[in-house]
Amino acid sequence: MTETDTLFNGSEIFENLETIMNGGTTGNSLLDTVIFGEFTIGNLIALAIIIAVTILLKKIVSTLIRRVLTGKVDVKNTDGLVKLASWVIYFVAFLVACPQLHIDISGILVAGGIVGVAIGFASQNTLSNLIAGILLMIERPINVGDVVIINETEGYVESVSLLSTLIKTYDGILLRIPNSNVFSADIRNCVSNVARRFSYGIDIRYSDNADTALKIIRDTISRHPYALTEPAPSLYVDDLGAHGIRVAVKIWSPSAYWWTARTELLWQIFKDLRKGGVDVPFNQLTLWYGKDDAEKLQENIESDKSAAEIIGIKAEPEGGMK
Amino acid sequence: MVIPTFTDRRKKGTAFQYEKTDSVWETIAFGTYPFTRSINHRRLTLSFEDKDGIMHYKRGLDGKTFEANIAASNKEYSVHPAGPNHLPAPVTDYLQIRFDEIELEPGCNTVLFVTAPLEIAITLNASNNEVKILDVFSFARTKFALYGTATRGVIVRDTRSRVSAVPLPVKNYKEFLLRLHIENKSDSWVSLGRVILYLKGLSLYYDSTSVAACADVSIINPNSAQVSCTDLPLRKDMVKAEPVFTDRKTTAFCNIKNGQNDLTFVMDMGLR
Repeated sequence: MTETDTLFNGSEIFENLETIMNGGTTGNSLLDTVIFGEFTIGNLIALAIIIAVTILLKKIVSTLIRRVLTGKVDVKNTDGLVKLASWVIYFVAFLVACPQLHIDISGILVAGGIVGVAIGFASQNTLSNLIAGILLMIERPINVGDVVIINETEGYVESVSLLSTLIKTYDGILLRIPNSNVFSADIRNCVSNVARRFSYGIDIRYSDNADTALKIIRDTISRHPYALTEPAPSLYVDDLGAHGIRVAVKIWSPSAYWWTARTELLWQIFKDLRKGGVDVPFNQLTLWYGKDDAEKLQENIESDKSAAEIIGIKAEPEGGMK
Repeated sequence: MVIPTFTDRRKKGTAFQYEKTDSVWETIAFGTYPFTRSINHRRLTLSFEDKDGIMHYKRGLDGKTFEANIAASNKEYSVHPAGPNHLPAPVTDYLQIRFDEIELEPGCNTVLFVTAPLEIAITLNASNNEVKILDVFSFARTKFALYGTATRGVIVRDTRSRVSAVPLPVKNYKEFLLRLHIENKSDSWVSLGRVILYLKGLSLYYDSTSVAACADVSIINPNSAQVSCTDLPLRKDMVKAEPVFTDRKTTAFCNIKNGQNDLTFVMDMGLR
């Protein structure tokens, strides 16, 4: 049996490979042939296998990442993730290849462990932001251009990157929110649905006819293009309050135009109500006195008593109420 | 007043031959005209004026005016009938026509006529044939509705129409006639009270009296139907209108994926 036969003989190949990977000698004179220094043909073959597997793995992983994230994550962020995954694969491959190059990695591992712990502590927030960013991109509760309310912040989504989300508030201020905060926050996306509802509470006087008011408001809404006919607007007397009759108005509108509809309609409703003789009430309070109290009050007003004396408070010596 | 002579646009490249003289017309008449031709039709006034070498376009309708300044070597403008998906802003490309419900027996194959709102587009043609939509206006009132749910549905331009088995009289320049070829392919009776068209697939044809279009409605079951615009004239002598489109602001229309092609809309959230 020749040396070549031994090298390619069935199960021995794997045993030899395992030995080479561990940096040992196989006892096979061909594999153990030294090229330079301690570097043997076996090491060369092992390195070639490691490089081939690394390239293959990198291609598989990047293809998988792209396939999974395409359409869900911004292309720029997908590229970043592919690069990150590639560097991780390269680093692991380097560690695996170290025994072949006769590099002692125990020192690197110890140092790496210490550095790893330090970096782990330091990058705890960054890592949580990164993971939250990836989850946000997959779940996609918000998209660029959406009008959102995240906790107390309202505005347009400018970008959703791996670490943070940029929101442009209505007054033009750019706000950066870490993704971990966004992910754990209550997110209200105002435009994720094609239509949304807005409401008004309109007070009218008790002297006005609520039916007339409802008819006027319904007519005004029917003339506005962005007030949807389906679902139909909802109008009803909601409350008989202290100062007037509260009419509730709930209108559906296309999400992209709800603000236009909301601002235009309220003023138009007010103008049409006035034109129809229906007006908003002024705050007013009607006081009722018993007969005796009223007479007593009239006497006191006509007398020369001070205000403090009338209401039964001891008058102040100087500068008091008169 | 000179009545424009109709020519087939597909053969000669223009729908109308016009008088090359200054004039104020009391009708709209679709076609291509020189800037010197003004329109004064009912509540509509439309004119081009030369102001220091720049053409000033002014259009008035119902107390509202639209103005624009134009620098163009081609001193012509075109008047096109357009589908109702431009005003007051390009909100949606779907048109819902509601009508009195009709009970259709299984296997029913019938033709119905309804009317739908029409928009009129004024366009400018550059010497390299690049078209600019200068203005769009309409005599019809615009309303929108939600077809389906807020999550899954679509915003549609909403209109209500009479329905008839014979062609309906249409208010010229305000509405167009739509011929619906309806086929009930289901095994049960179906109540049909609305159809929804994908307007980018709509082919409008016109003549001196009206604008018209055709569509096929294929009812799959009592809750679903497929509506396809067909590129056919209602009458043989009708001229095909150039399609006029503008970009739409909203894009989240999930239902479009259910369509077989760009000309089709699948009504899968009710027919009444």
